Amino acid sequence: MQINGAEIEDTFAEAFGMFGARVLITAQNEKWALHAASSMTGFATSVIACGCEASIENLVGADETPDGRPGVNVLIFTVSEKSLEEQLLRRIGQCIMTSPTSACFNNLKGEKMLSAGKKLRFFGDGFQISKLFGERRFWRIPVMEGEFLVEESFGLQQAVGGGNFLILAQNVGSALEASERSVEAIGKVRNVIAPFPGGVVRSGSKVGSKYKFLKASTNIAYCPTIRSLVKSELPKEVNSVLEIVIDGLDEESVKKAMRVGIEAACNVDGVAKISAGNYGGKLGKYLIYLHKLFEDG
Amino acid sequence: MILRLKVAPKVPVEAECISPDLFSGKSLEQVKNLEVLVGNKRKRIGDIFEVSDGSEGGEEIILEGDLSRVKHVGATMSFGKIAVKGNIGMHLGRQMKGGEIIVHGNAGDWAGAEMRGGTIRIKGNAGNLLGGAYRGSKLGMNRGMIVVEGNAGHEVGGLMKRGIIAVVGDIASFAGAHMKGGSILCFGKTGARAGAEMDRGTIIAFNPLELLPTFKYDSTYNPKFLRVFLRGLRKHGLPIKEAHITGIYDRYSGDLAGLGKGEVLVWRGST
Repeated sequence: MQINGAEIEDTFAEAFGMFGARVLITAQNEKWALHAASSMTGFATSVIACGCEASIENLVGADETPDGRPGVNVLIFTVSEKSLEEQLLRRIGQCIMTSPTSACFNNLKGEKMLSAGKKLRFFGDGFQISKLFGERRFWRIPVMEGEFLVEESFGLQQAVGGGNFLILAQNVGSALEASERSVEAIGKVRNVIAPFPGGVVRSGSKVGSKYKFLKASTNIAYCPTIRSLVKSELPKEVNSVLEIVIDGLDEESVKKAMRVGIEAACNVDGVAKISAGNYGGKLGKYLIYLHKLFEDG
Repeated sequence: MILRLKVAPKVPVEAECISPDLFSGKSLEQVKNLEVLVGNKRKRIGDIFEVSDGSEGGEEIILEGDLSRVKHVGATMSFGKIAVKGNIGMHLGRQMKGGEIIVHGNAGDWAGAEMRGGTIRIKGNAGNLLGGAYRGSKLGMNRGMIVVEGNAGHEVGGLMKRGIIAVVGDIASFAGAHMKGGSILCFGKTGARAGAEMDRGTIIAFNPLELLPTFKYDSTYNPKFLRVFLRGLRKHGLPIKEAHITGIYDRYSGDLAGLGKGEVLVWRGST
């Protein structure tokens, strides 16, 4: 299969079951909502070392937020319910509550509810105030700037993490431009994020290492600078590979994001091939075949 | 189900059987046979109301006539709807848990007393002790919402724990007395001694009011929770202006004669 002359390899992305939540951050203006969201999603690229994967999903207009102020949706994913609550508690407490004028709302009607706001309320040292509106409970925590408003519970749902594809290009310039276009296209898809810097990974990994203390190491089969030393998967003309990793609240959204991302990447000159990362289908719950993305769509 | 009052009663009628919970699944004849107390005499609904079947399965009840002496309508109801086309007597929707009551006239004292859920909307005036607690009870209203388009009497939301009471007109004295939580909004004039001995909870006054000396000024700000509340309450037809949402409020803590963790928010206008 080819798209605009780029080969789509007959392979699959291996994705994993995760747990996801959506947090809506509002603030006095978009700038401060983004400051809070950027802080909350900092150091959240890979669950292996960061504890979670998180990124900004989209901007939300003031007329669509509960308090009528500009907002930002953040998606956050972890491997267990417990760790999701821990990460929410830490990141809301350290990154949103600390950010001037912010407020924090649940924006996912999940299968279960996590009580991050309920635990965070103790920061109020006895002066916190509970407010119930309909079925939603909020906590008002007095802070030096005024008052921090946080919803008591955050919805959780089973999600999909690690959807991915690899962009194999003739040079780093083409790979980067293709990646940027991919991420831009993926940004228009709801329910998904690309959690790595700018949505792009340059250091994809494989499981294991020659060093016993390492669980993962560089993906040597796709490293162009050691092509002659290892069993390489790279065509001759390829000199740079970038990976797009996608987490989503559901499999269909991840597939849609992969499809639009690959299409966008293939519009760039110098993209030779699109592949995907997998572990032979032995580890992940979801096997997303690249060719099927386009057959279904 | 439509119940039209035959003759306005001269003595109080206790009609707590008028509730979707009790009407549901019953035939017209069964509804007519439900017992009410007229003064100290046991009578049947059919004795004082003309009953006709105008809705589905008794989940919506329409009352017509001057029911100023008919009490306890909708008491403890948990679902469905009651529409009163006229005035209604005391204890409307007392201890109700769900459903909706709408009154196209005035309501007597104790409307929504100790309610636990649902919505009461009174298009006219409400009496005293709206959403309050019965004598000896520890808690008044504890969830749900009451909207009064006219004025409300004394001791609105006494011992209230949760829920929202919104009054478009004026509230008489002792609003939120002994309040434990919840919110009272007054778009008209808030009477004297609001929040007397309140422990927790919020009274929001959209006009200046005279506060007890045991309330102390904290600061002036735009409360974010109030933005959420007011935006949500707009759909209930309350006279909420954009300036109410974006405006600033003086916050007073009180009642310092009690626990002191209650608050009165007084709207000061636009930022």
